[in-house]
Amino acid sequence: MDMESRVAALQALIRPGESLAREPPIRTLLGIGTLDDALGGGLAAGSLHEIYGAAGRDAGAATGFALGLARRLTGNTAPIVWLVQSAATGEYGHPYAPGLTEMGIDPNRLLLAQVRREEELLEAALQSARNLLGGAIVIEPHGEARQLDLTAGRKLALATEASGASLLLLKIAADPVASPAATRWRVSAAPSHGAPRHLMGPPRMEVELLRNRNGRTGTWIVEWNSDESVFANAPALQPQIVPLSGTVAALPRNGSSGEIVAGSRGQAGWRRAG
Amino acid sequence: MWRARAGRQAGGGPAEGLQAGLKPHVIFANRNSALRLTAVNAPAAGLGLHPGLTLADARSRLPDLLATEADDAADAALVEALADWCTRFTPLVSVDGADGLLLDVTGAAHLFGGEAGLLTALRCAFVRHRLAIRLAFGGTPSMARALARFGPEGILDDSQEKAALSALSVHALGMSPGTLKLLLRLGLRTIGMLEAEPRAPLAARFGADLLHKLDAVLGRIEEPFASRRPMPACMAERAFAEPVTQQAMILSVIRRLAQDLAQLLEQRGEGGRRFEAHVFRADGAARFLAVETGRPVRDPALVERLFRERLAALADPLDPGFGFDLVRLAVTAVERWERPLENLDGEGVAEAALETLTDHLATRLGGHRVTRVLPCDTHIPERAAERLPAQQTEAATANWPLQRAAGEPPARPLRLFEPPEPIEALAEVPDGPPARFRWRRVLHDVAHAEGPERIAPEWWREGGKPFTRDYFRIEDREGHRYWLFREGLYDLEPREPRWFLHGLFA
Repeated sequence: MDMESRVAALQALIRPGESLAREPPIRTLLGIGTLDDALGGGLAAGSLHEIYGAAGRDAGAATGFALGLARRLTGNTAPIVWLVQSAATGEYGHPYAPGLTEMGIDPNRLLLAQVRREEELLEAALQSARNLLGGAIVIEPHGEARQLDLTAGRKLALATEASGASLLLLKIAADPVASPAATRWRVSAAPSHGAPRHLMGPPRMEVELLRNRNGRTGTWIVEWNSDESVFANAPALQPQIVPLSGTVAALPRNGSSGEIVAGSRGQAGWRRAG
Repeated sequence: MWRARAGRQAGGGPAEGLQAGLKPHVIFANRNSALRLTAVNAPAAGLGLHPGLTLADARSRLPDLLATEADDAADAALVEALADWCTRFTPLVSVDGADGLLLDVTGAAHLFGGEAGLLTALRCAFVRHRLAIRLAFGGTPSMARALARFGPEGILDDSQEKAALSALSVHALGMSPGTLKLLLRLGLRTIGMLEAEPRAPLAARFGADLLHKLDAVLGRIEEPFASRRPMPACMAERAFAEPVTQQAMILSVIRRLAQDLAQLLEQRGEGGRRFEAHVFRADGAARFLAVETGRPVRDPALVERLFRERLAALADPLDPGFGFDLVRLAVTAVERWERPLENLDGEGVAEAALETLTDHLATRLGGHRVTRVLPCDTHIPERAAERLPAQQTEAATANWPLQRAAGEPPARPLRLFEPPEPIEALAEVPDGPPARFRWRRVLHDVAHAEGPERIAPEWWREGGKPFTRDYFRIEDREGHRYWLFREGLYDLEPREPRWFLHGLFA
């Protein structure tokens, strides 16, 4: 018996099992106590979750949150399939593997697929949801994505309940529509606190749980811990902003290691360039 | 050993309708700065018109002559289409000149009831499409070509073949016009005459090329055959008595053929990496579809599913016309079959599932759109990660270097703009971070900045004068994080520095 038929046999084992689908799904802790409690003991694997970027400029934050969820759901071993509509890569940039590494996600597990049209995206998503065992699928349409409607969502949800793959629908600058999603989040960027040595802190976002099939909704400020690959409750923001000039890394200039750029800055002044 | 070839020569170019009309009809084109006839039909030939005559001369002889300008591109397209269609007789087909086809029918003729049956099948097919055809078999491509174009048609036994070859005009050798003229002037008009001459003086006078061509036409040497498509590793086909029109039917046939091929592949200990389905329409059109897989495959169900997707993704759907009468499935690339790992619970199954998914997506979207990423040893950010077609890339175990120290936030963005987007920035000179910048018409006030991280250009790789980049990680007042860089150094590099936005952080 070769591998395909074995996989098919396994899938057939799972598919007719109505009882299997009714069993409580496997849950993954996100790392924040109150949030995990609200979700009923963690985020459900093998379900459809929707992540909305509050606005176009929150693309980075929304992508980071979606990938953080994917990282939690797959435990850095199962594959992550990222389906993205070409127009979205033009507007918000291409997925960048070194950035995934920095977040604690192994890019070797990543399968990227670019699609041109929305129908193709839906087809590819269904195909992935049926075939991928475990793992997570990030689906990123461009714009409102009218074709990813309630019916399409139901199809997707059914397919993923059978295969065990988790679906993360990433919509940036779009309005929520009716769907059978288990959870729906709205993500916007939040100012990071200044870390002692560096001015920028860990990735931080404000997430609003808009819909939760198993419990209450609410808003959290979360932080991604890139070393532990886990979400954390963001500490209260320090009100003051550290002055810029003192903390910029100094650079040797003209090869002489002693002379420091910051010293000459005062005389040189400011200039506009574009 | 291959035995026979059929060459085809239509009566002066495959121009439709030429043979059909009873009135004199000629095709003309601009040759040697005059409009000359390139092809004539039988009634016109009967009236003394021949290719090479100027159109003016022909018109003066026959004022109401029907003349059509030649369309070389359309002729070539027709010959290509016919060549595709001829692959139903043998996979090895090549185009010979502007109006000839060579078929390697070694071991294929018996499928059509021997050479006679093959000849009849070919002739019937061409006549049905109202194309004149001359058919001949030969032991080498050159022999078949010479006999089809200059000799008697049909099947010849050994002695007939010998006689026919000696009687062939030296034109059949395909030598240059100069050599040909010289041969004729020396009275060497036929191949037989040439063969009777001593070889050494011929070689001295005309070069070794003449002898080589002579030997090829006489079938004394082996000749390579350059087929338009490679010989498949194995193939199976099914012909229908009644043409079928439904796609579902085609797919179920493909599945049955894939079952046959699976047995063949199993015997050889191989699996297919590339499958081609050739569907032949009853009215003479042929369509070739291919699917590729990331690892050797035998499973007929999988092959069928891949072709189902291939068909669904076609920009111009399969047009059945009057129906398909032959479907062939060929394996054009094979690989040793490695026994899959036998663990049911471990990675083997998940891995296989992922590869199956890769094949499905690649078939549907195109292989270059489904990618894996591999790290590249470079500091230039846009080159650090290379997207490669997933089907051709092994499941990676590459080592991705971490750019940040432990406990620090990410040093590389999650999304990268390709190419970087130009922005307008207000910054301290010479190398301070920007205080404010405008991207896509929106002004951002910088709250936190880190940098610069200086990335030197790879001068050995880039043409022209590359510039140094100073990268800054920027957070604006709302908390959005960006990766900005200044290209060029104030005073040190010749051009005024410019600012770009390269990526978005989480």
